[in-house]
Amino acid sequence: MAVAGQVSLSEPFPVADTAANEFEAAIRDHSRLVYRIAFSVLRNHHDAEDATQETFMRCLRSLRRTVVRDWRAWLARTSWRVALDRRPRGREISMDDAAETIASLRVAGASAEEMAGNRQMEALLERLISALPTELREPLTLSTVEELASPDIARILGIPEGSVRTRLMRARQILKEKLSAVLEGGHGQRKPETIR
Amino acid sequence: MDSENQKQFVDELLDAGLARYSNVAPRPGLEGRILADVRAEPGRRSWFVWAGWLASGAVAAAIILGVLALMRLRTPPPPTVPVVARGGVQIGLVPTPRPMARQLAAPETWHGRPGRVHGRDARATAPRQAAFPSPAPLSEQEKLLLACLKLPPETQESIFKKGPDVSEELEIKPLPPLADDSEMPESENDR
Repeated sequence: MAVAGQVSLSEPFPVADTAANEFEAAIRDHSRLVYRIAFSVLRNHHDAEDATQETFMRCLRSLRRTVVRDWRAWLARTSWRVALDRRPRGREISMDDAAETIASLRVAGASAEEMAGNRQMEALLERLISALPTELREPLTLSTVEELASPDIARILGIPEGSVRTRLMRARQILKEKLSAVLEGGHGQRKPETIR
Repeated sequence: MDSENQKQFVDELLDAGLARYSNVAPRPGLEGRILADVRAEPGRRSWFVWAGWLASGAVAAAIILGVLALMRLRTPPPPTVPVVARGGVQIGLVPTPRPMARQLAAPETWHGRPGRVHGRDARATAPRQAAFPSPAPLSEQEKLLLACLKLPPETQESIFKKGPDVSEELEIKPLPPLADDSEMPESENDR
């Protein structure tokens, strides 16, 4: 039964009927996951949407020569690669302003949930994550997508599940230390570029 | 205790921040846009295929034309001269020998030792023939002769006997008298 706003793939489709039906279902089931993975890397709605469309187009092109068993894993991996290809290089986020805002919120007695919803806090966290080493940043970024558990992250990155857990712990530890320094007002003692 | 509170607060803050980090929803209609893109793909793909074929054909045609032009430039048809028999009858066409590299080179611009052709110059200007010796087309007479040879011997004999028969006895007729005999000196025959 057709649902309002839902597009049917009954029109001519570039692959066989069975694959077309599976692909249609995959678009409906996993487009949100694909979008979130792209957003976790690109941090921009417009870029994330472009990356999502490119992900599905890539999958469609390789569908003619590939038998897909796990659509979710396949799309997640492709989305991750597409997003990494599109990631802007050398983007800098000012940390001083963000740190001051967070510290003032803390003094004002704001809760952790309220502070996390603040734009400055989001920018600060983004800056701290981007400063992490790649081997720690990648699993942490993927772990922020709520649909992905450690086995999924391990499959996307091609590393053992144990390594994913270890790296996540290390990444969180580093982030905690940096956040503590910011909240204690220690951010002003070091330049943002030197914070590691 | 204050330190413990601070640590717990940082934990909560980090958890909340990471939970929000990628918890975003796409703009409405993303699925529709993806499906529209997917449907437009075959047309786009066929256009690319056609463009690719056209480009390949154009490149192939250009290469073939270039090779043909090069072959035409490097192997011009050999000039021929008529071969004439003693009776003035043309019996065929024979290609003339090609000029040597030294002859083709402009003498006023060449400053090397006379009588010596550099290998590179010789290679560059040496004539290149498809077959050696170059085949010459048969003349009309040669073609007729070949056609005669294919006929039965009796027919050949009758054809060749039509010419003047030199085996017959020659009849020598007296010469007509000259207009003025008195002015002629005496010959040995008159004695």
